[in-house]
Amino acid sequence: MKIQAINYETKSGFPSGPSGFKVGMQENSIVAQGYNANLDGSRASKSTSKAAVSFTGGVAKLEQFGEKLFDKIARSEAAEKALNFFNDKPVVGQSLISLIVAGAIRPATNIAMAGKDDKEDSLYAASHAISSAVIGFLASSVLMAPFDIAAKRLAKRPQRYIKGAEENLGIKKMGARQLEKSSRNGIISTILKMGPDTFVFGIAKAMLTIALIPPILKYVFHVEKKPKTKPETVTPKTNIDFCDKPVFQQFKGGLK
Amino acid sequence: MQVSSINNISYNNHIKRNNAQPTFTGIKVTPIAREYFNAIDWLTNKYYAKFYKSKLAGKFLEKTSKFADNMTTHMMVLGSTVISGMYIMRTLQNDKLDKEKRKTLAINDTLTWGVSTAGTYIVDGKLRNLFDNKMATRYAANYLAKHPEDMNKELLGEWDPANIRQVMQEAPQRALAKYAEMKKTLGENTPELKEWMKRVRFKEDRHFKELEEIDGSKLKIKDFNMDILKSPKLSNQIKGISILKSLFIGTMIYRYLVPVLIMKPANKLGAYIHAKNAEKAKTEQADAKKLEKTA
Repeated sequence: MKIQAINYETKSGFPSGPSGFKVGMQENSIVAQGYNANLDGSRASKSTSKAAVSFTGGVAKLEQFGEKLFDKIARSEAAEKALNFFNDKPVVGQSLISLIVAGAIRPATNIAMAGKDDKEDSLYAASHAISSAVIGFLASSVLMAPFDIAAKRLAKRPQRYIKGAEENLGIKKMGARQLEKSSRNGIISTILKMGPDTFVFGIAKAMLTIALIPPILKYVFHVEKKPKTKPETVTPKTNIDFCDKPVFQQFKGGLK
Repeated sequence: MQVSSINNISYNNHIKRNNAQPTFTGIKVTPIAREYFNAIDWLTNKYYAKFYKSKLAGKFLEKTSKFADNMTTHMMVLGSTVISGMYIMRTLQNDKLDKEKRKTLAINDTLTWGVSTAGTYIVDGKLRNLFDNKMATRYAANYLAKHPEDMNKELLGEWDPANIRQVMQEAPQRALAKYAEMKKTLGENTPELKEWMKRVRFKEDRHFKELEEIDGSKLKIKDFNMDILKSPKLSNQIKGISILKSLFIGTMIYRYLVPVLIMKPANKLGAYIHAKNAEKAKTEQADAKKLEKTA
C-alpha cells in the first residue's frame, strides 16, 4: 500500500522527515476501506463500519474541523476579544460573570422558587445578590483598571522593571518570553493581579453591598420594610371602685 | 546678483521668526489623567516590581510552584473565604438576633462556604483536562486556520491546522531538522542564518537546543505555542481559556448552584424534618400525660 507523505516540503526542498517516516492518507487507504490499521500501516482486522476519523500515522485529525458550533464560535472576533479580556483583566472578568449569574439568574431563580411564606426572604436574598453583583462589577472595573494596565506594561518589557528577579522566578535571563514560560511568574502575577480585590477591595465591596440592599428592595422590588407596631401594653387597674360592684351593693354591713 | 532682494528675504525671515507663534501638537493631559498615569507608574515600579524582587516572594514561590496550574481558582476561593468569614463574624455579633438564630445562620453560612469550596475544586479538577488540553488545542487549530501567519510554516513546512495533534508530536524533530538544514545551506553564524532565525522567531541558538529536551508525544498546546509557534496572541488566548474556565466554574458554584439550588432546598428539608420531629414529640408528650391520668 502506498502512503503519501504529508507535504512538509519547503521551497528549499526540505525532505518530509528526518527519520524518513512518511505518514499520510490516500483515497484507497486502509482506513478509507474500513479496515483497522496497525501503526506501521499493515492491516490488523476487518471492520464492517466506516472509519469515523481520518488516520494520519497514529494521531487522529480533528473531527469535522471547521463544521462544529465550537469551531464557528472559536473563529469569531468576539471569542478572541473575550479571551484576551479574561487574560488581561481577570478580576473585572470575574465581576462580569457575577453580574450575569448573581445579578440576573440568581434573583430570578430565588423569586421563582419562593413559596407564599418566604416571599419576603426571597426578595431580600435577591436584593442582596443584585447589590453584590452591581457593586462588584462597578468597583472592580474602576479600581482594578490601573493594576491591569501596570501588569500588562510589566509583562511587555520586564527587563525595564524587574531585572534582578531572575532567581525568584527561576529563569536565567529576564525577557518577555522567559517570563511567559516561567510557572512561578504565573503564580506571582495572578496573586498580584487578584490580590488587591481579594484582600482589600473585597471587604469594602461586601460592606457597601449590605448598605445598598434597602434601596434595591425599595426601588427595584417596591418592597418597603414596615415599621414594627408596638404591642399594646396592659396596664393593671390600681383604683377599683368596690361600691360599683353589684355584690357589694347587696351587702348590708355595719354593727348592730 | 540681486543682493538687496536676498537681504530682504533674510530680514523678512528674521521678522517672521520673531513674530511666529509656535504651534504645539502634543497630547493635552488633564490633571486627573496625569495622576492616573502616575498611579500606573507607581503600581508598576513600587507594587509589582517590589514584590517580584522581594526575598519573601522568592521563598513563597519556591514552596508553591506546584500550584501554578490553577492559581486563579485558589485566589477565588481565598476571596470567598475572606468575605464568608466576614459575614459569619457579623452574624455572630448581631445583637438583634437571639443566640440560637445567630448560631443557625452562622452554621448555614459555613456550610455554604464549605460545600462551594469543595465543589469548585472538584469540578475544576475534573474539567481541567477537557478545557486546558482538548478544548484549547481545538481552539488553537481554529485560531491558526484564521491566522495562518502564526503557523510558523517557514520552520515546520506547510501543514493543516486540522492535523495539529500530529504536528505537535513531530514539531521538535522537524524544527531541529530544519535548523540543521538551514545551517548547512546558509552557513553557521551568518547574517542570513540570523535573519532566518528572526523570521521563525528563534532569536538564539540555545532556543533550538532546548527543543532537544522536549518529548513531542507529551507536548501540550500551551508549550507547543510557547516553544515552537511563538505567537504571543495565541498564548494570551490559551491562558484566557483556562482563566475563563476557572472563573466561570467558581462563580457558578459559589453564587448560584450552592446558595440557590442546594442550600435552599436543604434548608426547607431541614425545616420540614424539624417540624415533623416537633409534632412527634408533642404527640408523645400528650400520650404520656394521658397514661399518667389513667394511672
